[in-house]
Amino acid sequence: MTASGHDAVMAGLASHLDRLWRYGLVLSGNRTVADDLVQSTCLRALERSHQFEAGTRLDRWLFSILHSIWLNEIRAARYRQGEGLVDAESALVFDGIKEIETNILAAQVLREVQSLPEAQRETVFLVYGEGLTYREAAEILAIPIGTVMSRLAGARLKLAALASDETDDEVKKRK
Amino acid sequence: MIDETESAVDSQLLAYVDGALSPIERQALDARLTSDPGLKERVDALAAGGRPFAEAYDLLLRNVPHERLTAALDRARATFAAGRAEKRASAARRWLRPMAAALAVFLAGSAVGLGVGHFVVDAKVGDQSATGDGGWRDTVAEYLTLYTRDTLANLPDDPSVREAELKSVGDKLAVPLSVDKVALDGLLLKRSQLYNLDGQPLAQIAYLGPEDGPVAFCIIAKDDGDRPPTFEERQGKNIVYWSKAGHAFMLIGNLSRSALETLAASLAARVA
Repeated sequence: MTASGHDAVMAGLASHLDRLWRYGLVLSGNRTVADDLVQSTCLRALERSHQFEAGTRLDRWLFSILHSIWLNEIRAARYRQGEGLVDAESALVFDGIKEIETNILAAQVLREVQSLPEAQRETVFLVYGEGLTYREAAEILAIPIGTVMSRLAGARLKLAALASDETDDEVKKRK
Repeated sequence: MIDETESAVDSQLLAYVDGALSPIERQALDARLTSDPGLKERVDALAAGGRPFAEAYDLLLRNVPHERLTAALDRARATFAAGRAEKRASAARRWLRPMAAALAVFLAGSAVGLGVGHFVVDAKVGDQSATGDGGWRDTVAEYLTLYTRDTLANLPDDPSVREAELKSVGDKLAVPLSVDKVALDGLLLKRSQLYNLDGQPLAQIAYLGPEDGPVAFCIIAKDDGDRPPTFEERQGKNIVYWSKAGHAFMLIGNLSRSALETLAASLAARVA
C-alpha cells in the first residue's frame, strides 16, 4: 500500500545514510561530492516514495537511486564542464581518514580498488563490499548479470596483476 | 596473459572463486580443474585478485561524517516539504476555479428548479499534456489528494438526484450511466460531476468508503484502443485504469490494490 511505502522511506532513510555516503565516496572519490550525492538521493527518494514497495529492501532501492543520480547527473555534468572523471586513485578518498596510518593493509586494498576503472570499481564495491549477489548488483546498476560477472573477473585479473608487479619489485629489490 | 573475455567459462570460474556455485557445479568444476591446467591457471589468476574487500571498505564506514549527513537529510526533507506545499497550492489553484464555476451553475440551476444536470464547466484546466497518455490520470490523482472524508460526507443522499447526475454526466460522455451500473460494494455513491479537461469532458463519480475515505471513478473520451485494467500508483493514490470503446476509465482511492482491482473489474464489466 502506498502510504506505508512512503512511511517506510520517511522512517528508514536516516539509517542508511552511512552506507549511501560510502557508495558515493567510492564512486566519486570526493567527500564533498559524496555528501551531495547523499542529499540528492534522499530528496529523490522522498519524491518517489510512492514507488517504493513496503516490505522490500530500502537500502537496495536507495542504492539504485544514488547510482542513477551519479551516472545521469553528477558525472554527466563533470564531463560537460570538462573536468573529466575523478581519477581513480584519488587521494581525497583518504582525506580525513584516521585509521589509515594504522591499517596499512586495508588502506592498500582501498588504493588498489580505487585504481580500477569506474565500472569495475563500482561493481567490486557492491558485490564484495556490500555483499550483494550478482543479480542484486545487476538490478541496481541496470545491467545484465553477465556484465556484472565480467566486470568482477576483469577487476580480479587487474588486481592479480598489481599483486604480481609488486612481487616482482620485491624480488628485484632483494637482488 | 589471460584474455579478459565475457565468456561463460570466465563467469563460471568467477562464481567458483567467489564460492557462488552450487555443490554439484563445484564438484564438476573441481574435476575439470585437475585435468585442465589452462583452466586451473585462470582460476588461480582470478583468485590472486582476491582481497579483504569488506574489511577495507569498513574503514570508510568508520569515517562517515555523521553530522554533515544528518544535515543533508534535513535539507532534503525541507526541500521535499516545500515542493509538496507548492504542488498542493498549484493543484488547488487549477481546480478551485472550475469548482467555483460548477457550484455557481449548480446553485443557479437549483434556483430555477432545474436541479442537477448542468455541471458542465467551461473553464480550461490543466496543461497541454493533461489529456496525454497518463497525464489525465495524474491530474485527477492530484485533485483527489485535496479530498477528505468531509468533502463528501455532508452531501445529501438522494437517490433521484444521484440518477439525474449520472444521466447528465453519461449523456455528455456518451456512456450510459445509472446507479445500477456504477454502484460499488461497500462504498456509498455520493456525487457525479462533470469537469472540462483541455476541452474534453471528464466525469468524476465520487464514493465514500467507511474506512478508506473518498474513492473516485473517472471517465474521459479518449481513443487508446481497448486496454485491460492495470494497476498503478500516482500522487500517493492507488489507481486501476483501463480503456474500452473510445473511453478511458480510472478508479482511484486509498483502498488496497486487491480491493481496488475487484471493484474496477466490476465496473469494467458494467460500464462501457
